[in-house]
Amino acid sequence: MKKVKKVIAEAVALLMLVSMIAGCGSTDSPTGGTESAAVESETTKSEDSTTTVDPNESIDPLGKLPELVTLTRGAWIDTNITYPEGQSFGDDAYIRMLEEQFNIKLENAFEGGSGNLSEKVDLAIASGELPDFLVGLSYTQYKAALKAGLLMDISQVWDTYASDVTKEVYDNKKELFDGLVTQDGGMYAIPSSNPEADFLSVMWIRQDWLDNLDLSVPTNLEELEAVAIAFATQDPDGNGADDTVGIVGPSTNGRLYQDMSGSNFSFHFDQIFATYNSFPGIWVDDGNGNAVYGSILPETRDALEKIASMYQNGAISQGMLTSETYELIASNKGGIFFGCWWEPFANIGNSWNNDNSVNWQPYSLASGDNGIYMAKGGNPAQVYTVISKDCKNPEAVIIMLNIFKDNLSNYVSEEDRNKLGDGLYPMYMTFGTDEGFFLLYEALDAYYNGKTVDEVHAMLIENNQDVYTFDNIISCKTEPYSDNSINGFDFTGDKAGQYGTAYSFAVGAGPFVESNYEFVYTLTYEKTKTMEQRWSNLSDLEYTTFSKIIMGEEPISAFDDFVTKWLKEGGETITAEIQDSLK
Amino acid sequence: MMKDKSIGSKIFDLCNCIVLIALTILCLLPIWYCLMVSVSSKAAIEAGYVSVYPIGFNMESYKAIISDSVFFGAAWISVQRVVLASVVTMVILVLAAYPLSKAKRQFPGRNIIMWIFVFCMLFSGGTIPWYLTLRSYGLIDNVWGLVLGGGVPISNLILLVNFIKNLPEELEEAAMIDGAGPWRYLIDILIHLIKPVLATILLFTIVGHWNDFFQGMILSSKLKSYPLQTYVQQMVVSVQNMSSMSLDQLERMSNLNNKSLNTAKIFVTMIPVLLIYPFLQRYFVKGITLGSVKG
Amino acid sequence: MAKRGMKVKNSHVKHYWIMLIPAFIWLVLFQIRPMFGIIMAFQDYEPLKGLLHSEFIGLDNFTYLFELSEVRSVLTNTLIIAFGKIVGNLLVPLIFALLLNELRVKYLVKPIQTICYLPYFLSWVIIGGMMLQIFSYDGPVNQILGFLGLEPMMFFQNAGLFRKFIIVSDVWKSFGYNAVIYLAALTGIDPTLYEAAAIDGAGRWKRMLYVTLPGIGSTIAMLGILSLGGILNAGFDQIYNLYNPLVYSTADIIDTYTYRIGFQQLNFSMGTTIGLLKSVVSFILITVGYWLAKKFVGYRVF
Repeated sequence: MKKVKKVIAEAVALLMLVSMIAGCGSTDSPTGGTESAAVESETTKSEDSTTTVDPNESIDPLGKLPELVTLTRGAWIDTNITYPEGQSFGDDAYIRMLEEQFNIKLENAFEGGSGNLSEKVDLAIASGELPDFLVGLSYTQYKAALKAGLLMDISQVWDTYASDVTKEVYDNKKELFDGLVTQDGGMYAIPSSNPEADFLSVMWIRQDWLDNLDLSVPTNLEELEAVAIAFATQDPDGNGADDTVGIVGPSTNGRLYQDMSGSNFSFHFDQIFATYNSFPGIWVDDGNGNAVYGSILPETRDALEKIASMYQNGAISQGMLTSETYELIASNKGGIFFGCWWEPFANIGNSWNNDNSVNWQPYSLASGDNGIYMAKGGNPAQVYTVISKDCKNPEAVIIMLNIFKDNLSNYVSEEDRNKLGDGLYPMYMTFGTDEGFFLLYEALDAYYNGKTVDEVHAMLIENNQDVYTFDNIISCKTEPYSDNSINGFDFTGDKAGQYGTAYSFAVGAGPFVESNYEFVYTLTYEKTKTMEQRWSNLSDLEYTTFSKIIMGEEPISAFDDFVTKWLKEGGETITAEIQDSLK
Repeated sequence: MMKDKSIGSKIFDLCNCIVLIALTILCLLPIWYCLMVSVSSKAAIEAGYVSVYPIGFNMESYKAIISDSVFFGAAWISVQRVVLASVVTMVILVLAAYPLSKAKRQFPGRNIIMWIFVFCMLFSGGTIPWYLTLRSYGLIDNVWGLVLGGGVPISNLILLVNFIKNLPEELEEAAMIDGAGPWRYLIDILIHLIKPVLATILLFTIVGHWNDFFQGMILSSKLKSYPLQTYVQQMVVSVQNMSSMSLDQLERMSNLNNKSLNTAKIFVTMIPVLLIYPFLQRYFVKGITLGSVKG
Repeated sequence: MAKRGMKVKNSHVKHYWIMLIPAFIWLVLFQIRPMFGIIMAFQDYEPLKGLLHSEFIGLDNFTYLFELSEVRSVLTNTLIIAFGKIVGNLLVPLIFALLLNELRVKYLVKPIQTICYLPYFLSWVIIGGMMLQIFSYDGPVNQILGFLGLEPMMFFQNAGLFRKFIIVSDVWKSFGYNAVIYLAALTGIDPTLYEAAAIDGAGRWKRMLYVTLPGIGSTIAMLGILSLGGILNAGFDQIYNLYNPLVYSTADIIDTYTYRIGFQQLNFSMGTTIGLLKSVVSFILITVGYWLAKKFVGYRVF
């Protein structure tokens, strides 16, 4: 299937950990406000914060509500979960905790699994009846609900009730978020905040193949092409069969590059485009301070021409766009692909499961002579939470978010939390900053250089981080610690289940923490009026043309026709509108 | 059937047999493949290793299904739906098809009625008004909503009308002469004459209701009201969702990609329809209708 | 006995109306009442305002649709694919039913019927993935072609080939199920007609031509006309799970196109507009088909 494979997989556990790390990026806690409290994540004591004194307001962002309030929601059904003893869907530890400790009772207006919850949200918006709050809306859905006049202006509630920790995450990207969720002075949604690490596309490469063929890691595009061709033709796995490919391209309906609509995903060519200073799919500066669309620039033409020739040469897998290319990774036939840091949970995880000796390593490909990788940044606001204009107790929603940011382990037992997973928390969304990664690497460095586990734990806790990931990694890391290849880890026996977490964090996140890169962001996420009418068509045209050029179905001159058509069919108007909006 | 002894005839028989068997194998292969996938290991499936025999054999998926109480709850709802719908549909369709099969001079107005039905088969207000209508009747989260919500299955009606029309008129004339009125004729005689098409429509009705997931999705707000295919479908994500999904949404679909589980579920849901067909096949036997009446 | 058909007592007519009542009520409640939603096609629908108060914009939605650059190609694709499928889905199940009818090895009939009707039940999500693998550039099918010394066929890359693939694979998936109607119809043929024909010296082929086919002619005509009604639905699920940008030019149909550009999601009026257009075309085609069948072949299919 054209699903971005395994992306979903054990990513639940992964993101739970990420949230723990990213989420604990602040120092304020309700008890005492100014000192950094030692967050004892191991404890199960539920802190009834009505006894605390918040120096800011008389409103306690983690305070129990005076009376029982009921909130309706669109509930997500996790179809694969085994509930802990005595708990069930709609009656789990989180829901009980919210009711008992905070006087917040949750009812389900409707229930849906991942396959149809989005449609049910659509239906709710279309019939003009939203539950009190909804989590996980796409931008389109949020806008539709807004246009339909169904949403509450939560700017006041946010100011009053959001805890400092919560506000800090929002303020971290205030300009971006304001642009997305505020309108005429009112705030109509709470955006998620995904870690930037997710958007840094990483060049995953089979180090063991490089070793077998006695090649070094490519540091520029030419070397990349040479290595890819070598992978495709010189039997790097030594099995005597001509069954390997170099760079693995996107699957059917996959993306050639990240753009303003999508989230991060694998098997695209952003790093290659970057070497031509080309950033298709986003608005870039034309050098004179004006916004232009990256896909129509001459740099993009050059990049496309190059990629097309790489496809011709056999450097890129031939089955690109017409087959489920991720299978090449899982079956260990592909040697290079561009993906996320958490691939070991997904495609690389599959690859390793099928052959425990594979040595995947991530790198950044320098975009130019200065050695810096110009990475396309993404939109941290991937999903939105909205509150219905008819909601009687919007503060309850904010408080639920505060609880989440404060660390669920303070309120439910560790065991429950592990079994249920964070995803089931009614106000779950990825909402954090990136500190966690850097602190983790500091911790690992400290440990490798001789500090004891306790010392490192203390350091982490001082910075409001969980110790789980660190513990996980060191429990399977072998000496010499400097060896980050597959041989530097012990995943035998019970430890096999740790491959995803340990390898993703310890190895996959390496480029994010340590390599030389700069993010290039789109100048705006604005959707202008003409864009609403024409953008889908234009996008379509773009992808079709580019796909055909790369796969040789059309010559590079098709690009010029595309640009003309693009400008004519709305692109010119849209560009003008965008430039206006940025003034 | 008269036996033909010509060589041409025998060659034809042989080829016929071969062609049909080849077709059958062609149809069997994907089913077999699905079965293999449902008992193979995830990593092997993702790598595309599985084809003719399972790799990493395990019954995990089936175990998961058996122990999933929601699955059986949803199956029960589907069973109720199918049974009720079969009864209601068959009765109402037969009642309606008989008069509609009459010619205009026998039943003035039948043309208009027929075309009204055809019109309604083609024109619809769309999903939202339909949803709102059913909501106004209080049929959300209600099995009757599933049974009746789809409205009259007009193409089945047309099938029935067409079939009845093709019956020789003498049969009814004979009955009328004997003093039977329309009701008598319908219940005592006509029903037996149209057994093959009734079996066909019954099959279509059962299959249609059993397989439907869309109506089930719109009409069920609570998990416990989901019919089976809706429950299963929500775990098999369509392509579009995946590629434009945010990380958050993707992470929630931890097992959507579990091809093994998905195919196992599909198999389990396919079993009833598999069993129905052989059961109804006995009605597709030649000559049973007219022969019996002639006697 | 009157040659032109039996007379009918007026009292019978009363009963006919009574028999129609349940169906009619069902129709009104669940199909006619929601039909007022068609108004949405002429409105700028807003959920809170509802049908009664949303702004009326006349034919704006329709003109907008026709101004889209891809309209012509998408419409052409839809028609070509749908037509191909209609023909395929009429002929192949028919031939299959006839062949099965002629099969001498009787104990094979039921198993063959049952197995062939199974693929219908596999969703395109599953079968699509399978087909992508089997017919891929280096998949089993192309490997076999290689053995035979033939060029590999790029089913999913070559736009022309892809369209044929869509039609053929859909026919394959549904022929067993679609054959059921024919099988039922075949049973309705009077066996004495076969006997008479055989006595007159007709061989198997002639018997089929002159007894079997005419016997189910009305059924074939009816199925043909009904399927015309679906001419603008060329199979969203299937195409969606198999296509990619390289083949949009031949395989993008109305439904996939509008879905991809996000038309129908949350643009409530537009979805209704498209639905209305499809309905109108279908209605016209069915009416024409019905009339043609009546005039030239004498069938009144319903």
